[in-house]
Amino acid sequence: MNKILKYAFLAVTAALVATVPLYSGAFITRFLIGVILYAIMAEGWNVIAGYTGYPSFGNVVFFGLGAYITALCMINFHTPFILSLVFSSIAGALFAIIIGIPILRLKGHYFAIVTLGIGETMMAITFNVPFTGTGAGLSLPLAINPNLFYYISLIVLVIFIVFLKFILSGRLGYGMIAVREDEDAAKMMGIDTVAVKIKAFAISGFFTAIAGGIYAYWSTFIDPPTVYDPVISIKMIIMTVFGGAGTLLGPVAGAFIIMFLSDFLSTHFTILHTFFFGGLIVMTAIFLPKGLMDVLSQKGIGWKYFIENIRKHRV
Amino acid sequence: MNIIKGEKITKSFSGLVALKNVDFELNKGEILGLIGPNGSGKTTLINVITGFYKPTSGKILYKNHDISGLSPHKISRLGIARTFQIVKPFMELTVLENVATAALFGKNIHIPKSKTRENAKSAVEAVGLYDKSSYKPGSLSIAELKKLEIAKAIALSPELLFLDESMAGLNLKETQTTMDLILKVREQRDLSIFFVEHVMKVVMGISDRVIVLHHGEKIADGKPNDIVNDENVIKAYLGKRYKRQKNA
Repeated sequence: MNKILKYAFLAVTAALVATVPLYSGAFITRFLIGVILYAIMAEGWNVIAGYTGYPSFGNVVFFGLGAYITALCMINFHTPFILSLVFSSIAGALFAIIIGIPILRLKGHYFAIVTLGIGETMMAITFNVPFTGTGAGLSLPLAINPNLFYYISLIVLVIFIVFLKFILSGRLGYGMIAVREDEDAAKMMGIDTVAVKIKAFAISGFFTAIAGGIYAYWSTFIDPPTVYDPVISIKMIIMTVFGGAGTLLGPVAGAFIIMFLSDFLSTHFTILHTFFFGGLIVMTAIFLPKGLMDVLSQKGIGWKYFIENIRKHRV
Repeated sequence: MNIIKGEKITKSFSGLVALKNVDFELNKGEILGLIGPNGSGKTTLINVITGFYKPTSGKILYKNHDISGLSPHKISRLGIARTFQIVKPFMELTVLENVATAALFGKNIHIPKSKTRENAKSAVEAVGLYDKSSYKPGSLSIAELKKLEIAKAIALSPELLFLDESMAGLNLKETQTTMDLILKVREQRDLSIFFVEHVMKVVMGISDRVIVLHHGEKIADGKPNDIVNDENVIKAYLGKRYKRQKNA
């Protein structure tokens, strides 16, 4: 009985998710596209940080790169949108490999600092290179059907989750988790830790760049401060950590809840909204260091769970 | 026939010589004990052999192949496993998941995943942690963590196992069960074992042969009984008290 209920629930949710844009209206569709794009990026951050234990603070670099590649392909070569996304994703993965080879040899904190710098560097380069439109930005052709973005993003998110589930059940997934848990022990198990980290970073870059490409066509205008905005990296991190880093669906839940709260607060409590992210980070770090998914997996939750979290994770 | 052999291994850290021309040899199926005072280079020697450090000079031959300077994951895949003096469990995974992860790698790297699960279970059983399969390492005692470390090492299906102070911090009873465990896995899995240990009872109890390091140099190599009567070893490591205890 329970199982039937579960499948029924899943089927209804799937049907709802698949048909929402047909009756929800432009505002909600727009909101949901934002949620899905952030869910893809948060999941991308989850692969390298949540599963592999390498907290990148500059994953926005893949988003920006993906946005620019799609924009440049569509403007200069009139490449079809989907093909442009393919180029973006390949560029994202290649860029992750190229920067990953030197920087993934750094330990956690140093890696985090360097990734921060890479985002800023790419922004500066884009500002100064002539063919990227410099500071004036790029305008893309207008899309005919706005629902297209909803479905493409949704398909990419679903493919990403299925792909990640597949990866996690194989040697690469176990290797990633082993690297996160103890890199020396992982090496001695015969895990090529450098290769594992580079692969994880490439997956992260691949999908984050697709999100960037979709965003570029969707918003029809991109410039360096928008698509290389470090706040985008911060949001990926908050969403993943809030939802549950190192869980398959945590980042998706995190993206939805945080986008919803953020939207709600920014329309109803304009000033309070500015405190929101700061407060949320602090509260999450103290009370929910393992995120929402861990809360849901507990049987019978009470104040003890939160107290235990404080005790376990203090210095 | 030797399974591993070190020739004139030297390791220096910017001027500080941690190992100086160390020769050693481990025969197939043998249990070799490595003793020496703190700072004499025991763990450094293991780190050099398992690829964590590159030797400054010298050669390490594993089954007559030169493995000196290879990276740890390559060495592991050849069938060499080790435990760490400070245990390194995967804290977020259960005991079984810890060992199952190991069973996917090491010498098993090319075996289909479905076939590695049994190996993981048998390794957990071998060290006697089967009842705690679903526990996380955070709730295990020191003795159990050391056993988990051994389980993870043997799940890699090694032929040669390095144990770095697997008995440190254990009480007498736990020490005894771990000694029995080491002898048992050697029999069952046809292992050659190289272990570092301070507890002399263990060294005397399970080693076929013992080598002694002092200030990075090998000062003795022989049967356990000869080693404890060796004047140099007594002076450098065991101390006069040990001799008196033995004679009393």
